[in-house]
Amino acid sequence: MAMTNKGMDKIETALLAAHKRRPSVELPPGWQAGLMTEVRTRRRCSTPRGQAMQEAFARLLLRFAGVGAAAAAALLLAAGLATPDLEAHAARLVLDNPAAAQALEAILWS
Amino acid sequence: MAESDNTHREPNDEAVIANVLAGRTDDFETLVERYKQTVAAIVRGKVPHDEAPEVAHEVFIRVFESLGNYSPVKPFEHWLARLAVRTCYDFWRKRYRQREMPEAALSEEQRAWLEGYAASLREGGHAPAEQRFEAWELLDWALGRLAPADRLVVTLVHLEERSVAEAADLLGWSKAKVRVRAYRARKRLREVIEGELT
Repeated sequence: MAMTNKGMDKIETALLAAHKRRPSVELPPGWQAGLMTEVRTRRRCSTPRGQAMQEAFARLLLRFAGVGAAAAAALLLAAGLATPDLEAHAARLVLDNPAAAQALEAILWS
Repeated sequence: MAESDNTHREPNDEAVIANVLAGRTDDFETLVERYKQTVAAIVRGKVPHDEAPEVAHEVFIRVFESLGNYSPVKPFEHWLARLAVRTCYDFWRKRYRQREMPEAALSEEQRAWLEGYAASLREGGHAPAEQRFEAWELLDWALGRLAPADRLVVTLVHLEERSVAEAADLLGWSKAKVRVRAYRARKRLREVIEGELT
């Protein structure tokens, strides 16, 4: 049998009263000491030395950014120069094996 | 004899906070000592009882980490209360994400209490006082069926009987959102409980 609205209101009131009767939260012995230990650990890992290290890293990054960009460009150039000329390579292949010329042409034009 | 009690006067919250931010970490314990019972009272009833000390610990860690964001426009206790409520909300959001929400139905004892109470109401009587012991456990079971935001708003507005303005301030919501959400959450809570009686 379904509960009426009035009945549900009374159940709700009873649950509200029960909520107010919940036991208090007891913070156990050592709780505060444990908290402060963690706080001190976090402080050591953050300000001010930690912040100073973060700032120093950022400065280092900016200082070497230009050098890094030049190195990247040089590497790119070197890679380009080291790559064999594809057409010269294909020509060598044909001279070594003339019969392969038609197959090679088909591959190149495919 | 002239009184010179200035040196013995406790520093106010802003002074303690300034010291902590200047690097005097140990001064943070002054805030912990002052407000640990306040935080314990806030988390009471919002998270499982046996996990409340751990949540209170998390509240103070968040306070420490975000102390630089505190502005003395409003009292520190007010800022702390908002952080505490937010921490409780995040507790349940994490549980939901990790699928740690209990799927079990009501225990036999809880069902017996609810059915007994409902039957006594139909007959025009009252539930015996000793049956109230399991009532808040039953309430927790029903609250567990709500989304974290609904759980929190119904706790603040209906169980703790805070005003909409106060709840909105604690949650960082608009008043309109609190009204709508609280209404729907309460309706859902009643449906969950009524579902066990049909």
